[in-house]
Amino acid sequence: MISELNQLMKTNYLNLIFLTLLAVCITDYAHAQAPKRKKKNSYNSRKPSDNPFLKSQWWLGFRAGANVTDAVPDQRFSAFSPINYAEDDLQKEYESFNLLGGHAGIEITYFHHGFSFSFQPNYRRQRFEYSNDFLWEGSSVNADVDNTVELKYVQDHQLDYIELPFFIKYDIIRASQWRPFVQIGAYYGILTSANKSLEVSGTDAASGAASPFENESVIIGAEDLFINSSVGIAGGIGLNYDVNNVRIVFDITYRYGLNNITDTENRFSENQLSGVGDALDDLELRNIAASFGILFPLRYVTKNSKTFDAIN
Amino acid sequence: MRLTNLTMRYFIYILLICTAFVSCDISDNDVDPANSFLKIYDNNTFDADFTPIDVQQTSDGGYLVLGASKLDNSLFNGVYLMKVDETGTFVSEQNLSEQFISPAGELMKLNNNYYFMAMTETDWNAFLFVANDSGNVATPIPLGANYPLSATLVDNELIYSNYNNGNQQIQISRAIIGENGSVGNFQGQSFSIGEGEDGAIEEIILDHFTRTNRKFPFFVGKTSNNLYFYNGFYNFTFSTVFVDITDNEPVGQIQGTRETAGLSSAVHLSGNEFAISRFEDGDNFIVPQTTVNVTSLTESSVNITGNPFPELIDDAPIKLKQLEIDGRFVLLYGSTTRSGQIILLAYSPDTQELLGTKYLGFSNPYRFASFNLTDDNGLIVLGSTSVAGRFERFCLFKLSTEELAEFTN
Repeated sequence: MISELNQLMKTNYLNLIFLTLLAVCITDYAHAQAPKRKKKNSYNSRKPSDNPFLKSQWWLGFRAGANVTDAVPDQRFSAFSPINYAEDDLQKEYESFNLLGGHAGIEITYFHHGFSFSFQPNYRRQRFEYSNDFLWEGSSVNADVDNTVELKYVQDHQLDYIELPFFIKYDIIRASQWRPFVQIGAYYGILTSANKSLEVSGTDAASGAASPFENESVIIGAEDLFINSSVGIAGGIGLNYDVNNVRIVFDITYRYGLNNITDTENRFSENQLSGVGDALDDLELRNIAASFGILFPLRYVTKNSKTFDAIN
Repeated sequence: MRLTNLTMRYFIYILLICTAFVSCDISDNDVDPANSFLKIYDNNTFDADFTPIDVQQTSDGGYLVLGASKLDNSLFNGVYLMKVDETGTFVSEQNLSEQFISPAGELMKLNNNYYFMAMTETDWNAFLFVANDSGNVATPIPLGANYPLSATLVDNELIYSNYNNGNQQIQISRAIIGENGSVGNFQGQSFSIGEGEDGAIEEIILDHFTRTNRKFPFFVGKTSNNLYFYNGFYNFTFSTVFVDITDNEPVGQIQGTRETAGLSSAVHLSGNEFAISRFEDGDNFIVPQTTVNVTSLTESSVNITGNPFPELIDDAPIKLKQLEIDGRFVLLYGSTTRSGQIILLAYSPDTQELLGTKYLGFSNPYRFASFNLTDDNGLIVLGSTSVAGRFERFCLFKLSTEELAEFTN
């Protein structure tokens, strides 16, 4: 019942985003199609400071940063089905926000009267990790209780996306070189590649080993295990710093994934690590990203242009 | 401002297109876990060891697995039944190893009952077992024979073979299973294995029952013109023997070469046409169609030409069935490759053309045991794998309708 509700909410999120965008588009279109009444002396009657052109600004620049990811499991899966121990023992242990990823891209922002509409396409790598522990023991009936094998499988996932996020920013303070802002938005990521690396360690007492061993890690392609799309909403805070004709941006953004990124059809059939019991859970991603950017205005700004209010 | 509106509109269009694209990708990503899965049935006891034999889908959508488990105090294997649900998750197990050993396939399904053979540990008497959908076993039915070798079901006719160690003969028998599960109308004929003074053939057969030597591809069947056949030792040689169940002399045979050559699987197609696979000094050959003179006593398996498969392990156990997939008949072979994967080979019975190949299993070595069609026109494949490279455990692969059609078309 809860999972059905969650599913319903996720569907509603998507619908909400879709409908919002549709509404904006229709409004924009309707506005464009409205009968254009030519105002008398419209050009000359307007004060320079009222001119919308002068109240807006386009910014173009680069941004890059680091991010950490948390994979949140919904429904759990395993290629193992235990016969004589609890199924919960097979559950993966996820590490939260522990592996550093990176991202880089461009930013195109349209500023108007304190609000900015920002498109920030970027290439990003997101990483997450989980582990499984297994123990096989000798039966006491056979007095071979020392025959134990303990294995730990640690799997690091690297997902590379081309992400297309759209943010609406609001500058909290405008009349200053330091301009803190808040932003909300949504994103759509397209998976370009995915890899898994497996590290096996453990203790093989049955073979006479007294100390733990650690094998070299194995890297395999995992693109078929994930669907192409990652969609979600995002929010964050940031700071603009205007220096000369350049704007330096720093922001921290939290991304909340709304869809299951695991390819449910290929969960077992394309998983080359199924032999070690691996099957991806249904997963949603959470991500915290810190980014630096340098933006350049597309219209030149001078300190002396008193009628020009483009960045305030 | 015009430029601004235009650009904004582009943004929105891009986002709308993306959103529409996302909706398709994400909404399609909800596959029923029962459609396709892999499950490995792990037991965390260090010295537990399981050998799979056969699998059948039960009427509740789950599966019943027949297998053998290693016994601590015996060279024979115990009888082990496992019930799993429609997603392959373990439900229950029945370990009959206290009394019964050496289960022999197939696991046969009739009227929601599941039949298989095994024998007692004390006097090697063969019994027919009947399990229900949950894998619970009723009181076994004595068959009045020793050492069960193989069994199959043709409609409601049970055909089975066994080895009678008293007179060193292999017996092929048939019986009728009634609608209420009763078994009657037994008929059978016995044929000498041709044992010499050294007792070598009997030793080979007895080793088949223990864990001390290779397993031989014993099987039984029936042609459409009411001729029965069994694969086993006859006249010193591993042979496929065709018999009239009312006559104590074989009608014909395909001779192998002692225990080093013979058939590893056979399906009767029509008339004298058979689909077979054969082994010869470790090599394996797939023959999707061959004409067999079933009334000849001199036919030799090594003379049957076919497709060599060096990819398979030496003297590979091969399962062959003719199945109706996607509206047409397909010959499906299953076996084990040298690289430790399960291989499925689909052939056309009409053109003998290889339609497709499917490999199952990664990272651990896998061994093939059996397969069967499922109610959703998918395929359930039973095998075993070495978990952590050392613990032999059952595994089940469920292929969806699409996955099966993909390599058989």
